Amino acid sequence: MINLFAYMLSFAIGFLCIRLILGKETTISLLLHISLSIGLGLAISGIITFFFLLLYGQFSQIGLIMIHLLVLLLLFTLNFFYLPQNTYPRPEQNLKYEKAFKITTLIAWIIVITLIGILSQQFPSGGWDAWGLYNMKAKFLIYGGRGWTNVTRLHWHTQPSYPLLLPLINAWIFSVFQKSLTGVAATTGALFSISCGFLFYAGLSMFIKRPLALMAALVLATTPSYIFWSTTQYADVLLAYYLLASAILLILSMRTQKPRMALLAGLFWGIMPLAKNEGIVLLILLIISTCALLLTDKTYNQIQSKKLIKNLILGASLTVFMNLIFKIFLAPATREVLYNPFAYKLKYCNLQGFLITVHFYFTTMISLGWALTWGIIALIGMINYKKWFLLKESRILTLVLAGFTLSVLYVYLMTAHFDLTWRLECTASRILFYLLPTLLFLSFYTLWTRNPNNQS
Amino acid sequence: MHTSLSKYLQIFIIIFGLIIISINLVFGFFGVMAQQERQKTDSLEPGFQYADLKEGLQGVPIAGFLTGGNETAEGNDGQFMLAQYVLAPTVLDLNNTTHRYTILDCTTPQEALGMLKIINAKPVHVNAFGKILAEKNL
Repeated sequence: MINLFAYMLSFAIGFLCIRLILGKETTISLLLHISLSIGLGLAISGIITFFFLLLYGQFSQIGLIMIHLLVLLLLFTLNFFYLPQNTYPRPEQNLKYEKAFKITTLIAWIIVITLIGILSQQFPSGGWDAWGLYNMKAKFLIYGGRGWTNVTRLHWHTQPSYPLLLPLINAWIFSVFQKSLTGVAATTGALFSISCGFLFYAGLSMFIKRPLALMAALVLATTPSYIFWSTTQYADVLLAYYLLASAILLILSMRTQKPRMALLAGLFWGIMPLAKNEGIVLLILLIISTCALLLTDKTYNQIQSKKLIKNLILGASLTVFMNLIFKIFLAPATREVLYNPFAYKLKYCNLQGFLITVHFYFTTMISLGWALTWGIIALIGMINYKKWFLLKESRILTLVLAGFTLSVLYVYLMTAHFDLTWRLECTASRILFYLLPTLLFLSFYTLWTRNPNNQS
Repeated sequence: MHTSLSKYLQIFIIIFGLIIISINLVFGFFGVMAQQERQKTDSLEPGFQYADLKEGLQGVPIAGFLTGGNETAEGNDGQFMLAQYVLAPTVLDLNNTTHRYTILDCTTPQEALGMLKIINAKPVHVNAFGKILAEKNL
């Protein structure tokens, strides 16, 4: 709990940063602003910590706190002078029982937060990969002195090529009061778990009626497998959060056609590769799909479309820059993806390998912890597929998810260093977990939102 | 889709959603109860078996790690991962005996003596769990 000050500091940085980017004409609700601020603020703190380590050469409590306070002061000054006040769009107030709804919402979130808070203590030191990979790397960043870069010299079984956002965030939070690294990692996991559910609600209530958005968010945030995987202290919950934020901001950029919104969306897109290597694939697919649709769809103003694309890429470049430096100058090449598969004997690159993979994923989806949640996604998909493809933004996100599925399938079929079944056991649940919030969001969004082009 | 049919389907989705939330909350309640039971028992930090070797590795950037067990990625590297977690920020080099210090994970004293002889090292610290910090004979 004592570390909450550090989280608050990051939150304030994120909040002021978003306010500055969006300017006076804020098109997002205060709730969404708050939900996005948590993720952006912590990502900025992670990036600051990385560049601090790189430039100063080692971890320093005073140094990190000073830089954070300087950034906060700078953002506060800029906000104060350029944006003395701003207003948020008011939510539709036509609910008959507005007060009752607000009380229900409050009680529901208190239950969710309590549930996640208690269940997040299931593994005090986190799941296997949490302590074995992420928390272990955080120790290198904090206690490694000038040898912190040894984090990339570790044995390949501890994945030295994995992006460092989660260890960097935990190192920053730890730096303030220097109490219990395992406690910090557990709090970060629980915070992202709750924030992802909150972001889901805040984002969805921008497009559909609030009671429906609340119901959908509760379906997600109470799903046992969602709570389990989001509180294991793995980086998957970060990717789940940033992918969902990327999808929400893409929809808002397409709908509002505002370059400032596109800049913010780009920032979140660029954070995904800092969380997990899969984020690189998602970022590339998002850029390609969005550019293709904006440039080929004649219903869009081409000048405006080019402005949006420019801002999306600019935003993504700003945040992904850290990962470029890490990947080019520090990290070894990943052994998980084969770039030259012909050099290996591939025993799973056949129909059997394909069937094993599909069957394993299907079995995982119908497992007890989340079968009903996947069921509602499948049901909505079946009854609503026409509108799904009518909406341009869901068309882009479908392309992204289809491309990502093919990439994942490629990685499985090209397995050379591991046993395929073992690999599926380790990864299938986690991949499904970080895709779940975005897929559930898209299902409810496409079913209940109004088509801005009145095509349905 | 016909408007009234679409309306009915939407109502069905809402009811289905509410059922899911109810079932999830029941699962959650049992999960919380189980967690309360678990909290009564103390849990040990992963790799506690290697914790006291840390002192002998202060300031050592890299050390070897040898084990009699099967350290494969599929086996989740068992002892190696545990040792690396606890002994960070010292890098452990799996199956490399060229470093000044080596951590030995052996199941029997005979196995340990055999390994020490092969790598030409002497034990600096042996703990209650049979984990050995060995230093090369110079």
